[in-house]
Amino acid sequence: MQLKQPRRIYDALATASCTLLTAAPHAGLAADPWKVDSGMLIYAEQDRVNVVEPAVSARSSLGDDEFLSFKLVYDTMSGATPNGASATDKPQSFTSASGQSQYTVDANKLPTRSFSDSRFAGSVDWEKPLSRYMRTILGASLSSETDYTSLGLSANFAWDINNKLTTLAAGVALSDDLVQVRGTIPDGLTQVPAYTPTANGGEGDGEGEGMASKSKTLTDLLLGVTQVVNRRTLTQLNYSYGQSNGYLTDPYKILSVVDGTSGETLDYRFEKRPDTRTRQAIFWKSVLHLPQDVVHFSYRYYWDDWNVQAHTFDLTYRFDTGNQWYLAPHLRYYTQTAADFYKHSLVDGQTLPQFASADYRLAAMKSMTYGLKVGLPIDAKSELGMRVEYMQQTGDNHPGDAIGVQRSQDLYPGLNAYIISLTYKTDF
Amino acid sequence: MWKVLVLMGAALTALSGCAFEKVQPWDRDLLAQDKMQLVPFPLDNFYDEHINFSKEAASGGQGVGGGGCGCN
Repeated sequence: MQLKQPRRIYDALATASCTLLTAAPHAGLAADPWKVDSGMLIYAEQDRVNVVEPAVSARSSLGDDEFLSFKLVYDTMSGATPNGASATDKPQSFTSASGQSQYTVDANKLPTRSFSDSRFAGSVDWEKPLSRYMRTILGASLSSETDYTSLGLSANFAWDINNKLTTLAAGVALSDDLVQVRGTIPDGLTQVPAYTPTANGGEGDGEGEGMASKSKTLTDLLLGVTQVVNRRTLTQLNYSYGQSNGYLTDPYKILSVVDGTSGETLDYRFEKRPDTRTRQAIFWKSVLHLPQDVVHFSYRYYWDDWNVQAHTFDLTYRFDTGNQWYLAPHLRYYTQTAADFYKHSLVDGQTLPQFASADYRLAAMKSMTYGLKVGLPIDAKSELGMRVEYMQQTGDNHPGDAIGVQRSQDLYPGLNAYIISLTYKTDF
Repeated sequence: MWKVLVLMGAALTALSGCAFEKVQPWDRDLLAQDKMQLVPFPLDNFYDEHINFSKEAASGGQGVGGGGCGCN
């Protein structure tokens, strides 16, 4: 027994010194070095597009309040998307830009084009304090799908002032994007060519054709203030300014050219949009802690030089049940005016406008989203969330300038979509 | 752009004198909770931004960066 005592002390000292030696350099990492947020989105439009989108993001502490974050996203998209042409009382045939492929749409049906694609996107952010009151996040992102590639860089700065009750923010993001189309990129407002398959062209969605591409650049700036209003209220006011330059047209979208008296479709032309767009937005968000529940409210006013103005109201009420889990109903209302070159169709014999698009996303419309989220904390570090939402877009189905047979057709392709997302976040 | 910024600055300056309380650091327990963050669920927010960007003409306001997509 006497002999064993020094051995125990020696062991204890050795263990203690090892613990100290190994623990010290990692002191900054001790508190949950990894935060992982993973999710799965299922987005399903009635009779139109379906998207499945798993995503994972991870944030790792590098110590000294420095962080590295990654995000990986993979989308698979398939279904039918409106091609811009108007529904009419006769079956319609549509041809690709090169005339190499063709598809048909029944009479009195919304003309849509079937597609399927997948997209991979990844981004990395490096967050670093510049001083006790300033920090920066530098980011890079890449997104790639068959017909689109985007490369982006961003820098965001935050500066705490007023005893950390006020945070000033500034951000800049640059994106260099490439639109790639199988076959050729059509000239805007030219006639859609007739179906003329060649031996090496083949049927299908442009199979056997080469790729053509056009580029666009996007620059975005943001200035913002976040303010603690009182012990229970936080508010944020942002202003964002964006400039898009280059090929902003959708190469797949067309317009019907209709007879000025009967309204019958005679022909189709490719759409054409301006090659610049200046976008501005004011965004206000407030978070309010009631005795137990929390309310998030935001409003955005958006305007651009395509003459689109939009209002967005968003309200989430987080209701804590008192049994760990919570319910969060969500309401979102969105309304926009039409871009000044939006037209549901062109009229034969009239002078062609400089720009024209029948893309329903540039039409005057309203959108409502109703959602409910259930959050279930599993333990102090993990939480499971499930959210179900329903989105409904409505526009002017029977515009006043419809001609002849157009008056009996639905000229705005309304949209109903279900959105289901499952998220799991954990720290370890 | 400058007109908007001047208006925003004037509104904030006017508010800051009277409407904001000097909340002390030891009174910021509620503000520090996850559910009080401006974006409490970043991934849900990411999904929403992606869907809305692909279905609407308006975008921006919340932040910059994060990557583009060919959906609009």
